[in-house]
Amino acid sequence: MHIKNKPLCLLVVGSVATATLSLESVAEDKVAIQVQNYQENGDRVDIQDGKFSFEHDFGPDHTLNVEVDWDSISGASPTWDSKTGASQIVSSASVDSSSGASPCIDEDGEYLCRDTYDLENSAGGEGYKSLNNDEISYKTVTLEDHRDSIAFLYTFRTPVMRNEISVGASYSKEGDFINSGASAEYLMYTNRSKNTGLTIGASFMKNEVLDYIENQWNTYNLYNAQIGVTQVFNASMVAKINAYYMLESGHLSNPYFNVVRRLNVSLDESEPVNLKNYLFKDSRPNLRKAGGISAQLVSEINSHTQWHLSYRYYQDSWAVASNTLESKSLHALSNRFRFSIGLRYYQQDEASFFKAHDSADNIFDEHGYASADHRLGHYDSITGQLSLEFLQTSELTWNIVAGHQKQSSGLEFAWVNLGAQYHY
Amino acid sequence: MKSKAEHKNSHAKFICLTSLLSLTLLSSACSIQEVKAWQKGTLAQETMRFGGPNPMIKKFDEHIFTSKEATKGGGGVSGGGCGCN
Repeated sequence: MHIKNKPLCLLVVGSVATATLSLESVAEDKVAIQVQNYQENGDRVDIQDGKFSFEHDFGPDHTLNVEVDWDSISGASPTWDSKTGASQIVSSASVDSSSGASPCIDEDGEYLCRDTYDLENSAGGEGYKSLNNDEISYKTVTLEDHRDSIAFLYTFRTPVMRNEISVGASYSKEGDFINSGASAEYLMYTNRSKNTGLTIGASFMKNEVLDYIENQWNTYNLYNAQIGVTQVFNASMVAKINAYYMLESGHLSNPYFNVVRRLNVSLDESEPVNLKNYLFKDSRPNLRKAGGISAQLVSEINSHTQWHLSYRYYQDSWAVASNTLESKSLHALSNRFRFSIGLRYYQQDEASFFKAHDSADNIFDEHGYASADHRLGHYDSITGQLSLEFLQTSELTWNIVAGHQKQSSGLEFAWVNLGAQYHY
Repeated sequence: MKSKAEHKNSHAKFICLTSLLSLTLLSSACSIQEVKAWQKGTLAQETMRFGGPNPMIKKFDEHIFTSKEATKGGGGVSGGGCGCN
């Protein structure tokens, strides 16, 4: 089986946040480039990623930011599959949106939903093909993908209060995924001291995903709204609190994940129950409502040390909830070298329709939403990160970053970044 | 794999840590000082920016976390675009 999964893909227009997060925007022109190599344990995913950004001020009131991104993914990702790799075979069935069930796929590419069974055939006949437990396994399947994206952000500052209006647009394309988005954000200072700022923003994204089995493009949209308050506490401490709401609607199932369902294949109610296992596609609700709060604090401990602390709470209508706590400290080793160390803890509750592949109950019923995507599971993770920056001149800075994450699910991955930033 | 009971324990620890963080923020909030424009030299430094001195590093981090986790948001209205969750 050869699929083009997207276990790791990019935030397209993260540059928008950069311009609005800082309470007191720093006017500067710069170009930056950053490359990354990412690897997962068990010979799973390997990613090469690159970003180039350009930021330029047109006078004191206008700033333009452009960011270009590219990445290549290779390796393998785990999912339920037949041992012979049957799930790459195309099925012509359509999704049963009312029940949440999706087309099942047998080792010969047959469509196995009950409505299409050939009732003239007895169990085990030509009308359907069963996949016994020993014919289904949770295994890694190969993947390969490439993505390119571009994002723009324009910021305008009002003449008197220096309030900021930012508008952004983005476009991203892969062989099986297209994303286009737009965003707008307004930062308003409450008084001339600019110690308190209110932020309100909204964004819209249209996503098109290729279902490689059906050979058709499915669409889902993402709406995001956020309000925030930024407060300067003193000359060396600033914090921000946000509340956010997101709505995703459309085809949210992942075509690259399978689940195992147990069906009664008896052709008549008078016959004894005959349960057999089949591979079905991942099936998720077409609507997801999410919201939460986040808080960030930045403080200067002394002239050589700064501390960044953040927390986020998330909850959605799929019963997924998470807590994220992150701490990072920056240390000036000399006038030329800056070192930072970061630690991040993440805890997530599983989706209501998730069953882990290695749990005792890992088979789904015939009907209902179903996913074995490990990212929807119950786990926690610890991430550590070290970085070193070399300030070669007042204009040019080099950096190297190394990070590692270990999840309670067993997944581990590490990455290394190299980059440069030039102010002009 | 951790059992759900173990996860609940870790959840409880996490809530304690979060409460500590909240207390820190609240205590700080009680002592808001008026900072004049000419006193903002420290706050204007790139190391004091939310997200750190190099925005690209932060973006790479978020890129990884968003793609490996089922949750996102809270960092701004922009972002996303992968459909991998």
